[in-house]
Amino acid sequence: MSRERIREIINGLLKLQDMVLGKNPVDPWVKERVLDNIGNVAMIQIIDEDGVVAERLKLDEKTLRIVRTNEKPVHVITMHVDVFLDLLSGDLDFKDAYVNGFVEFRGKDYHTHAMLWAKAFERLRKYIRPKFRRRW
Amino acid sequence: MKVIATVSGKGGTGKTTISVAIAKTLASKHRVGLLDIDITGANAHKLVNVVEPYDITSSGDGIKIVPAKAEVDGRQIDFLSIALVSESYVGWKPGQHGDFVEQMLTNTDWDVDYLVLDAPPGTHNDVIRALDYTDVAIFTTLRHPLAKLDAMRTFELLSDMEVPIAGQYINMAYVVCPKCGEKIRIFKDEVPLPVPVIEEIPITDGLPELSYDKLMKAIKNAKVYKVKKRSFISRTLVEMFLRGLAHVKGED
Repeated sequence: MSRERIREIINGLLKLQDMVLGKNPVDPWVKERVLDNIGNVAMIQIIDEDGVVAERLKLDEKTLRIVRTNEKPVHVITMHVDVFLDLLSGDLDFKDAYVNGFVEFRGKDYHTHAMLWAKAFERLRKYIRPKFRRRW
Repeated sequence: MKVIATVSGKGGTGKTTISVAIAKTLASKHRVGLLDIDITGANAHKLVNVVEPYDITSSGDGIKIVPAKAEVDGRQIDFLSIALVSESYVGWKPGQHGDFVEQMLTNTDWDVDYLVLDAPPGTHNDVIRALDYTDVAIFTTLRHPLAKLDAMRTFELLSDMEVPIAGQYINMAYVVCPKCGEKIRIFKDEVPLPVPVIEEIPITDGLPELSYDKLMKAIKNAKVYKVKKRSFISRTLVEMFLRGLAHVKGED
């Protein structure tokens, strides 16, 4: 997969964040926990055969939305592009990906944050899995 | 909060069963937490009934984990294990196990009097990091010579780290004959470690009933043991060699 395509997917995810952080969030628990981390910078590294796509993302304190930044990350989250796509499609459970080591967290209190992500993914799982898969 | 680590060195001695039994015994009079730090073999959650999942909250200095609420034979304990996240295999890199143990100890809101740690076998980094936070260690031993050798290694580690030892539960010490009630001892009647025996536990189906008084007395009298490096291990090796020699000669 090209780097441009990976960036497009991340752009799409950033556009979808109103679902989680908007006025009518799909899960208030997740919104509350995300807002607890205002100012935190995380670097997402997606690895594929051509190299690494690295995006530094921050929860902006003014807009309360996740935006791209150049600031130093507190956490680095690394995964292969196949894992990234499987997580988005719902084919791979984040909790398993974390304990199996397919998604690697690093940084301050990284396991604690990974357990937060695990909780959030669990709660958002029904929104992540595309509906058409359920018919089969 | 007093942190009690259940250790053995050897795998399969029944640390998890004894850890849960200790937690249950203490929970009769105290607020108790149980943290399963046997990351690649986490199974304490199978011996407790988790009634409320773990949660995450935020505080002034970062996010905190609120442990799960669990029951053991009707007694309430706080509980945490990587298996509550996923029961799949753990494929983390070296060092990440120890990081997990440390973060679950320091980033969790353990509002308890006693926190029981169900330690993994061996003397890896995750065990060593857990022992940094341990007030008292309790051994789960077997009378088998191989279990003794592994226990000696952990005993030496605890000596080096100056962790007080309360004593040992000798697990699977005997079988009670269901017909006549006779205690049948499978292994030789020797004490595996030079620390007090808190209780002998028979082979039993389910959680053993431990004596609260004996446990509390052992915790109260816990002390740091000093051993000369390698002396116990080398002594055990020589002992095993001599036994093997005697066996070959038909003297056993």
